[in-house]
Amino acid sequence: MLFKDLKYSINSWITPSVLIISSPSVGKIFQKSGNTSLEQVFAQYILEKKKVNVKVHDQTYEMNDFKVNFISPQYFDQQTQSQILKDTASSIDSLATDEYYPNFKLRSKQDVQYFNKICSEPTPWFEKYRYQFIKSLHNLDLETFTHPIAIILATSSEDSNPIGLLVKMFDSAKPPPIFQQLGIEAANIPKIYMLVHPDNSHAESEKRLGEMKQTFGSSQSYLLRVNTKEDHCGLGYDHSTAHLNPLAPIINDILSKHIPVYFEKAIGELNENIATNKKSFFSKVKAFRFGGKKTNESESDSNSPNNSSTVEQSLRKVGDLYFLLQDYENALSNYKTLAKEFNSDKSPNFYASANEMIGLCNYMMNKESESYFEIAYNNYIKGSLVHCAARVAMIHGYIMKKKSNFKGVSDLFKQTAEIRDIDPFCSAILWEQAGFSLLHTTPSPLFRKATMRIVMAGDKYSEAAKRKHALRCYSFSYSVYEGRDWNLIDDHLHLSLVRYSFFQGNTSDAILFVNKLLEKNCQTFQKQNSIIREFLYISKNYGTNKENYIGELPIPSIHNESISVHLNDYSPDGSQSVWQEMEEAFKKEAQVISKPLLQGFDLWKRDLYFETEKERTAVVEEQITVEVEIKNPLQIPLQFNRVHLVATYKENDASNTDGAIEESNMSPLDDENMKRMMDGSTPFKVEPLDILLLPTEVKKITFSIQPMRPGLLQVKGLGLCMCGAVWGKREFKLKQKRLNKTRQQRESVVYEQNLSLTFRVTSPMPRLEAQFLEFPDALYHGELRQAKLQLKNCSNKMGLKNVRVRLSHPTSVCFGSNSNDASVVKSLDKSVYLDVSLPPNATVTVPCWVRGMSVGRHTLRCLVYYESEAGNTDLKYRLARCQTQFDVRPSIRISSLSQQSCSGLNSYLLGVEVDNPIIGGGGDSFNLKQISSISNFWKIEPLSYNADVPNPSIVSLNPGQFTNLFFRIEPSEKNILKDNQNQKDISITNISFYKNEPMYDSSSFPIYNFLEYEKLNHELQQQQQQQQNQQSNNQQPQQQQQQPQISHQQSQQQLLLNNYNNLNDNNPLIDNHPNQIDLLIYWECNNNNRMGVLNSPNISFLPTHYSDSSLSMPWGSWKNTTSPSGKTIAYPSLKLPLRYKIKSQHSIKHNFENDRFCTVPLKLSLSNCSFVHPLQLSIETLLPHENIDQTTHSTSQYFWTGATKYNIELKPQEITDLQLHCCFTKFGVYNINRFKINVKLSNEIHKEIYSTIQHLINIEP
Amino acid sequence: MSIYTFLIIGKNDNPLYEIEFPVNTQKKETYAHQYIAHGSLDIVEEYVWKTNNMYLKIIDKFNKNHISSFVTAGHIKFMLLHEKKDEDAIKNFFVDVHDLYLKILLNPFYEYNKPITSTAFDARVRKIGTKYFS
Repeated sequence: MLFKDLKYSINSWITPSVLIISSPSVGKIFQKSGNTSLEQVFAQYILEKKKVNVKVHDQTYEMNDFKVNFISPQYFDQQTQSQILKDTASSIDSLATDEYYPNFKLRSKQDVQYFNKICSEPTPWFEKYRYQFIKSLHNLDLETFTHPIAIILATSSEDSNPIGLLVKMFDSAKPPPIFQQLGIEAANIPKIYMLVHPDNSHAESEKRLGEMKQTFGSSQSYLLRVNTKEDHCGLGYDHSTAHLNPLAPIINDILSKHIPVYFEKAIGELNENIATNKKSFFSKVKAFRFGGKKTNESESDSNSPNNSSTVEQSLRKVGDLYFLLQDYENALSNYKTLAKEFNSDKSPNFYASANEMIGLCNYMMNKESESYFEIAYNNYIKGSLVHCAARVAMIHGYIMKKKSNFKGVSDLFKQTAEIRDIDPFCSAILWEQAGFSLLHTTPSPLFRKATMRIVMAGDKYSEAAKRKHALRCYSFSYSVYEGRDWNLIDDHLHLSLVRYSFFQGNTSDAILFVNKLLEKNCQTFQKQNSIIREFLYISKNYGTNKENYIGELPIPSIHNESISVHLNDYSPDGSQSVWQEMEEAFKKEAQVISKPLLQGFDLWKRDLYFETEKERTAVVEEQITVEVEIKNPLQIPLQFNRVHLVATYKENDASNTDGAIEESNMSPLDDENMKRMMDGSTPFKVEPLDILLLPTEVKKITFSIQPMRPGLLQVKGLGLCMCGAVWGKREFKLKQKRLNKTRQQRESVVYEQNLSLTFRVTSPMPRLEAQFLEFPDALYHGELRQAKLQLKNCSNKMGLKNVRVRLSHPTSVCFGSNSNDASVVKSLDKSVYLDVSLPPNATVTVPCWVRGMSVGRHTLRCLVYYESEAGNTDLKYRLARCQTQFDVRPSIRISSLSQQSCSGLNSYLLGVEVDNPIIGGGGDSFNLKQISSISNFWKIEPLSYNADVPNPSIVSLNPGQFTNLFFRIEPSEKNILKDNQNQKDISITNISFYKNEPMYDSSSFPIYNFLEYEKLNHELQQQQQQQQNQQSNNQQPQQQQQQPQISHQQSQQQLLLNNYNNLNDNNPLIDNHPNQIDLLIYWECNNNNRMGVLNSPNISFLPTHYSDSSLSMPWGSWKNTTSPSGKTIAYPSLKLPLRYKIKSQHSIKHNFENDRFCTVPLKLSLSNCSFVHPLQLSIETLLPHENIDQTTHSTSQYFWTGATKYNIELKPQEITDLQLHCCFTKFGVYNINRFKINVKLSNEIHKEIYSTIQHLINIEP
Repeated sequence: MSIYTFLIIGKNDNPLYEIEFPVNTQKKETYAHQYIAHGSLDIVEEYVWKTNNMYLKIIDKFNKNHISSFVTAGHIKFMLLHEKKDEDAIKNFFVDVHDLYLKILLNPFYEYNKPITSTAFDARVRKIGTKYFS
């Protein structure tokens, strides 16, 4: 690389020139063949080393590599400097690289050494630039290197008078004005006359040559035959044939004859001139102290026109000539004399130029030169010749760099680069060099300063519109500032990087930096506005490949957590969990999933049984809606056009996964694509929306996509057109689960695929729409109303089958209109099967009854399950949702009281209090119509009245009123008569309060079904309660372990409790105990003829035994038996259907003088009031004082005689009398209650019952 | 009017605090100051081991701007860009701000080497700035 050597650059700058003046016809000849010119043809012959011997005075100079520049007169036309600089700059474009070193990131000081090692020459173009810069930048005023040392005059033989033309072309006495201006002595310059003879010309060239030789002298006239058919007129330079070429002798003549002569002559004359004018030097300097330019002064000063050049000019010329002859000693002495002539204040440019040459001479002789360069540099700046200063700086910089004075280089270059009028590219190059020199400073590299200089270089490159260079500078420096929170620097760099990455087509980088730029959102809104505007402009103009589709856009930001998908089966709803529960139940029912129930040790392996999440199934031609929250992160409003979902589609072909066609709509959704989509040639359709987002606004937007063919559809993100200009997309980034099941997964970071936006599109399925019709808005508690469920098959191709319904309030609705077409379930967690068939487009209305179950506002959600008649393997069933809201208002309240009757051992008292609780205006009045009891074994009889209600007003309840009704519960006769096997029959008693009106049938649909539902619901709730209890019991032992200091007593209680619970599980007496009755009270309301029925299910009337807490029941208190809140009443868990009674005379006259003992017979009646269970009893009398404390000892005692212990078994409904005898010894009143009844409940558990009822016997004299 | 730019720079060359005196109402956003301050860190690193003083005096110059520096014991660098040379005022300024900085360090909610967002600190630095530089 020759450019690296500064001397080469200097020599190419300081090269003598030969002027070629050619006639227009010559120009034409060369123009025609190969678009060249005579100068270019000549220049080819100089590339080879030429020897030139010059003799000046007594010295002989032998130059081995003599070069000349061939120039045309146009060269002297004032060339614009900016043009030269531009050419220079563009000459190195091919050398510029994108990066100094690929993927290098400079983060800290330690990286610098590494960088210097791997990238010893980051800027290879600098030397080339320096070479071009030094070579081509001539200052014609200051130097004489461009003065021609020979002139070639050329005419063509096609010209009419070539010789006359040659004479006219250059007249030594009257040279062209440029010679005058630059002070070139034309007389001494050798002139060569040349006739160009094209081979197709018929003119007599030899004759003309003879004429020329006569006119100009034989040694100066040449004939040049050219072949116009060949390139370069057949004069193309070829080393091997050079000696045969007609041009070679001409050039050799010029170099060996004419030029040495010129040198000799010119130097001699100039030296003479200097010597003659030497005396007047100082006087002249004084005289022209106030003058401006030296040349003008000398011109006005010189008296003789022949001697127009001044001493200064002569000195310079001589110096330059010596320099050309590489006689640096002589040149130096001349330059030194010259430097003394100038003064740095008056004419800094000349002074600087002289010093520069001194420096160069010294440098060429390898002597100290830096001080001269410094002077030259400063004076050039003073004279505002910035580019000369830049040249000096480059030369000086080179020298300093050789001496490893990197700091000096950097400062010099930085200073130069900062000069105001300097060419931006030159400045940029210098900044860059200043930066890289700082990376070499010792002891430690100043890398921060260096990167700053490189950033400056980037700024200047961008000013010079050199984008590649600018991007390189910015991206190199960015690594130093990255992530260090220099806000203004970051903004500046990010913006620049965005700009130039785009220009260079690195769209993804640009987007990355836009994201970083807008990430902190700390700019003012004006600035953001301009950033966005620029972003749009750049990406529109420089956006890559597919017409301005730039891929991932930086804005708007998407809340990925907020993305929710809704398939067409239902609309989004707030109470998802309710729906989900029902959906899960259907799944189980349809046996779509088969999850093994794991227990015990299998639980260890439960991970293996997790079903892998499947993509959701969507149906062709049905819309999928995706709800997304998008945010404008900026402080300016943003507009987005045609925002739509972007998705990929894969054909569903299991056999050929690789070859499956994949399509996406990740391209601008312009009118053309819109049309294509509307035609149906795309596998899915999307719906575009226009969105305007105000500053920092968040919007929730619902997008929809409609698959058109079965396959696999994956929604990727949003496609949008930003501000109507740039197309791009925003991808959704869904949260993915980290997999952690296998060892391999644990060791590496593996994520589960999130399938929430992936859909398996299946072939068409019918779609059902369900809707409640005539559904009441408001109901009274217990009210019965009819409503309808309308089912509509929206498909016009396929039918539906197997329609099932699941409700959120299963107890409130009965499907069917009468008992024949009723659809009833046996268990509440089963779905209701509706026997309907829905051919395409059919609408079916299913009647149903609604009953107000519990007071409050309810949302009835209904999930309809259905299957396609055609069947579908991917989607076995579909679900439709519908929902409605209704209120349930309180109507009447019922409280009941049940007591054992004193009169009969097998009859009970039932009190019913009916209460219209609404106080104040607005309440309705209710009329009780009928009361019905439903029980297996029992019936009721009115007690309050006989046969007929005495006054109807007692059964009509105005707001705030209440009424009491009493009934007797007796065993139903028919059941007693019948066999036990016929237990299923229920006994229904209907008591109407209005004799003449027809009665409601309590056993009919839907009243009986609602009762059943209510009872089922109660059972369900009781079960849940029990489960809760058990759970809490199971937890308690653990607590005990933790707290061993808990008292013994407490733990015993605990044990007892547990025992009872065990009883609950095992004892048959608890379940199905027959002593209960369901009560139904029918009411009518005057308002709109409403009617309703209130159920009081499971009214229990078991005997109670106070001596045992688990058998006692709060007798005689009113309890709410209807439950407006829907909660159930818990009855005691343990039931004992045993009643007993002592019968005897209450007053006995006895004479103790006759008989010491008064023996009284007693009858103990024992009754098993159960209809089902036999009872094992053992009755034992107790001593009166047994177990009685001391204070009662003194009271008069009695004792038992006769048989005191019986073991009996009581059959259901059996009543037995036991004979007991009591013996008294004194007068008095005795309470005969000292006996105990031991009931065997199961094999282990016995209950002891002590009488708590007084039975008094008065013994009178 | 000569402008003073004061920066506190943390251990990873990250700015912790930045203010300009006199406090301008219309803030001209110029990134050059940040570049200059960042570049001068090279020089600070050189100087800091050559002296026992925390105050390093004027360490660097970029065109018209002089850069004075003060390095705390925890190697947090205070940098001041100024056009006028007034060593006494600058030294006093640095010492006063160092006091404030120590108080910030004592705050259990302030994390070392993290940007200082305390408004009280800001207000006090402003006060000190106007005291010395106007």
